[in-house]
Amino acid sequence: MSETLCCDQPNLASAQHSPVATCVVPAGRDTSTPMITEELYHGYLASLLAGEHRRCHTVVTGLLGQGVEIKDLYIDLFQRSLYEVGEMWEHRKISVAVEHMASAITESLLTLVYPAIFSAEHSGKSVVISCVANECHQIGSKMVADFFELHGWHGYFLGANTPKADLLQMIDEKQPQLVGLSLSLTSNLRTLVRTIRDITDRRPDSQIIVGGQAFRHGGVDALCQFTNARHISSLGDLKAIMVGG
Amino acid sequence: MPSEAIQNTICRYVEDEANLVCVLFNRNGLVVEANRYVERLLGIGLVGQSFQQVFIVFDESLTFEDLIADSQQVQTLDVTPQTGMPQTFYFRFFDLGPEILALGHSNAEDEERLRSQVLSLNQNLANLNRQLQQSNAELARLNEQKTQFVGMAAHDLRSPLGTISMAAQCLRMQAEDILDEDSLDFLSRIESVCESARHLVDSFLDLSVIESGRLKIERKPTDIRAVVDKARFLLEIPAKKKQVVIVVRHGPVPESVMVDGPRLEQVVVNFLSNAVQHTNPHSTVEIATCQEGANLKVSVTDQGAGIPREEIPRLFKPFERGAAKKTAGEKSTGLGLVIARKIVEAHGGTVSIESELGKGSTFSFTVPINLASHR
Repeated sequence: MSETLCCDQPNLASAQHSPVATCVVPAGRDTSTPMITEELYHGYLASLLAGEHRRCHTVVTGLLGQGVEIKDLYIDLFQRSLYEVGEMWEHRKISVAVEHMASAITESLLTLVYPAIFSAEHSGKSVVISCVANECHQIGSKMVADFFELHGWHGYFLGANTPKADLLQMIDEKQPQLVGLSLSLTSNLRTLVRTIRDITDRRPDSQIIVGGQAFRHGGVDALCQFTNARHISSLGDLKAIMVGG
Repeated sequence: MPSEAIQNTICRYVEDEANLVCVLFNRNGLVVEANRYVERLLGIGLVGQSFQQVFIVFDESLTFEDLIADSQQVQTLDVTPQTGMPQTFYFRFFDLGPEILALGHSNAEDEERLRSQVLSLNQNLANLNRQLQQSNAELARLNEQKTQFVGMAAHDLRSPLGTISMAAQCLRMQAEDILDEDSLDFLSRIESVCESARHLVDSFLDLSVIESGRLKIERKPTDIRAVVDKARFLLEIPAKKKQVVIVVRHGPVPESVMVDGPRLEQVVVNFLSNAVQHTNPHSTVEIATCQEGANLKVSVTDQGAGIPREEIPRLFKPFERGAAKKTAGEKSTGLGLVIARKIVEAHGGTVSIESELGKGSTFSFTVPINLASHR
C-alpha cells in the first residue's frame, strides 16, 4: 500500500449508508462543484503561514456556513495545508516556529467543526485513539478520532504524549471495540511495540490499529508479532472498519 | 582566512543580520549607533535616544553609570519591541573610553521553554474543548431520550387511567343508590386519584412535547376575557371549599386577539389554581386583565404567605416546589409553572412573579397583542 498513514493522515472518501453528519447542504447548491477551490486553498495557506488565525477562522466559518462536507474540509484544507507546511519546513523554507504556529491555528479551527461532528447518531461502538508516549504530533490522530465520530462511533481522543498508564485506564473504562495508536517518529517505534504488548496483555481481545508518518519509510514489520494489531495505510482499510465495525 | 577578515565579517554580520542587540552609547547615555536588529525590533531610530528610551527602567534611581560600572556583570534588561510585549535580553556593557558598547542576547532556553509550554497548553486546551463538546452532545442525546421516554410512558398511561375513571363513573351512575357510605368514599377516592394521575400524565405529555420542540401555538381570534372567565368557572368549586372568593377585574383590553386560547387558558388555570391553593382560607384571589402598551397582561394575586425572593427562580424548574405550603394540603407535580412559562414564551411573551412575605403573591404574564382581523 503506497498511501501512508491512517492515524495521523486521515484521507477518507465519502461514506455511504452510515449515520454520518457530513454537512447540511443548502438547497440549490451544486454539490459537484468543489467548494475548496485552489484560490481559496492558497489564500488560506498564505494566511496560515503568516499566522493570521482570524483570516483562517473566517475562511473555515465561511465554508461551514455554505455547507462544506466535513471530510472535504479535513482532507482538502486542513490535511493538505499541514502536509504542505511540513514539507516546507523539511525543505528549510520556513522555520519550526512557523510550522508550530500553523499547527496550533489548525488545531483551534477543528473546534469549529465539533458541533457538526458530535451531532452524528451513535452506533454504540467506540474507539480510543492516542499518541504514544513522547509523541507530540496529535492533529492527525485527532482528525481520525473525529472521522470515527462522523461515522457514528464514540471517538475518545487522549492527545499527545499520553502516558501509557492513562491510556490503559481509558481502555479499561471505555471498553472500546478498537484502539488506535499514532506514531510520527520512527525513534518511538519501540515504545509503540511495548504499548501494544501491554494493551494486549491487559485485554487479549483488543483490536488495535496503528498509523502515522513514522511508517512512511517502513517499520510495519514490527507489527508482525501481533495478531491483533494492524497498520492502516489507506482510506479503504479505515473506512471498512468504521462502516462495517 | 586572515583574522582581520574574520573580524570584519563578524562585525558586518552583527551590524546587519545577527539577532543580537548591539548599541553604542556615549558617556552621557545617549545612543550613537545601533545595529539593524535592535532598530527593527523596537521599530524606531535609536540614534540620539537616551538609555531610558531603549530599556524599560522602572527604578528611576538607576543611572547609566550604574549600568556601566562593571563590564563583567550581566545586566538583565527589557526592551519593548514593536509588538508591545517586553522582551528580556542579557547585556554586558563594555567601556571603550569615549563610548560604551552594550551587547545583549536573549536566552534561548527561556524561549524554548516558553514555546514548549505554550504549545502544550494550546494542545491541552484544544483537547479539553473537544471533550467538552463531546460530552455536551452526549448530554443532549440523553436528554432527548429521556423526553421521548417520558412522552411514551405518559401516552401509554392515559388509556388505562381513562378506563379506570370511566369504570368509576359507571359504577357511581349505576350503583350510587345501593352503595354504603364507605363504598362511596372509596369510589370518590378512586375518582380523585384518577383525576390527579390524569393531570400528572397530561403534564408529562405537555413537558415532553415542549422539550422536544413540538409545542405548536395555534393562534385564533380569542377574547381573553372569556378565557379568564372560564378559568374562574373551573376553579370555583375548589375555591368555595376553602371559602376563597375569586374576583375578576377586566380592564380595557381588545375584544379579540390572535392567541392560542386553550393554551392560555391552561396558563390562567395554572396561576389561578396555585393562587387558590396557596392563599389563606376566607381570603380573596383576584384576576386582572389589562393592556400595557403593545402587550396584553393577565395577573393573578393571592393573599397567601408569599414566596422568599431566592425561591422564585426555582419555581420554573421541573419538579421544584416552593417552600410555601399549600393551605389545604393540596399536591402538585412541580411542572405547571414550567409548562405555563413555555406556553407564554411560545407566544413571544414573558412571565413574572412579585411577592411579599406575609402578604401574598402576584403571578403575571404578558403576551404581545396581535389583533385579530375582523370581517
